[in-house]
Amino acid sequence: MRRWMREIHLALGLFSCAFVLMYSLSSIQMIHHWFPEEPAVETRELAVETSGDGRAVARELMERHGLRGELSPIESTETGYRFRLFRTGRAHEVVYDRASRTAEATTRTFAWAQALSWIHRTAGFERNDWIGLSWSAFSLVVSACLLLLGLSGIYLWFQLKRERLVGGVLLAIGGGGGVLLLALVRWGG
Amino acid sequence: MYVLLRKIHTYMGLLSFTILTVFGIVGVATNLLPPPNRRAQTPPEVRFVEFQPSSPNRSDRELADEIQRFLDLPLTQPPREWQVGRNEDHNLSVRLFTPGGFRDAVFLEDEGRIRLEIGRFDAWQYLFNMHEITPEWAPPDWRLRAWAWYVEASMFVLALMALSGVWMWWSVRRRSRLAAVSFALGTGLFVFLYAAARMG
Repeated sequence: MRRWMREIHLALGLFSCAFVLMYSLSSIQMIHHWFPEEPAVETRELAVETSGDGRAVARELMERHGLRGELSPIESTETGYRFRLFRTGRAHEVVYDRASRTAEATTRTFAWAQALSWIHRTAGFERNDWIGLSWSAFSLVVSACLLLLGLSGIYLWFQLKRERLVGGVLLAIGGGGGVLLLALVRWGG
Repeated sequence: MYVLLRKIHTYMGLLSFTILTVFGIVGVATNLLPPPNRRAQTPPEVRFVEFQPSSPNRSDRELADEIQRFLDLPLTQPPREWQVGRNEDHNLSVRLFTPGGFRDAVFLEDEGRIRLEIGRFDAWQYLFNMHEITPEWAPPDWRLRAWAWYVEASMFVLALMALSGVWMWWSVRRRSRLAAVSFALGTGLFVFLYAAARMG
């Protein structure tokens, strides 16, 4: 049993270690902003052939001009439409002019630190880009791994008889103290 | 070296067991549950509290701070600009937050009292809010400050545990095929997705 648990702990930990490092680094970045976050900005003017609505414009930009990402709600303006196409790492802001049939696309490519923060926040399956869906799937899997790593880690520690006393004290301080704080904050407000 | 690292790895894991469990639960819940505004909410509780401002000529900002101090609601902190406003009846409204819920205070000037609405988040939202608390944003309450430091430390612990785990695998178990495949699969998928996100 112990051998199996050790294998599982090792395999889960190694599978999720890149993701866990990303979560750790992005959390540190979101709080301390140690690395630059300014995105690279590029603006292009793109010809649009369709005379359809905002969705048709977005579709053409995706198919003909290679813009990709999740489509935001389309806003009607006096001269046409405005919308965003967002995907992890890159966002396009599009302003379409009906009269000239051109779309001005401002593309922001996020710095790596900001991209990690976006990945950190990517969750849920109500999205239409495969990269976002994949991040959500891995976020789910790695979160489950974290729970299993905790449980298997407790089991493995308990098997080390010489570590039971010190480990027990640390678990009481960190684990028990954490649960106590969670309860106190929940009941306190 | 291996024995020492294993000790450190184990001790860090035991110390941060609760917060790492919270991170795991939050990750699973955020992916599987509908967003908070589409989940069943407990109806807020409404109370009225007599209140007279100390001076009639106070700005909205000063009045909001005075209301927050007067109500003395546990786990709240002075409101930020976006939490203060005027409602459709032109009454001053202050929205205060705790990890467990919100407190909407509307000062009914003509009646000389505050309408206080107390809303409670569900357990998932509560854990989500708790996983985000850091010393920079935590209210002065000792319980939240202690928790915030626990979260802050755990961000570094998470990285150290991942790195020490890889080091231990490489130093004593590098021949394990399952471990090598797991590492290659996880790291490879991460690198592939990251590259796809950056280049697409």
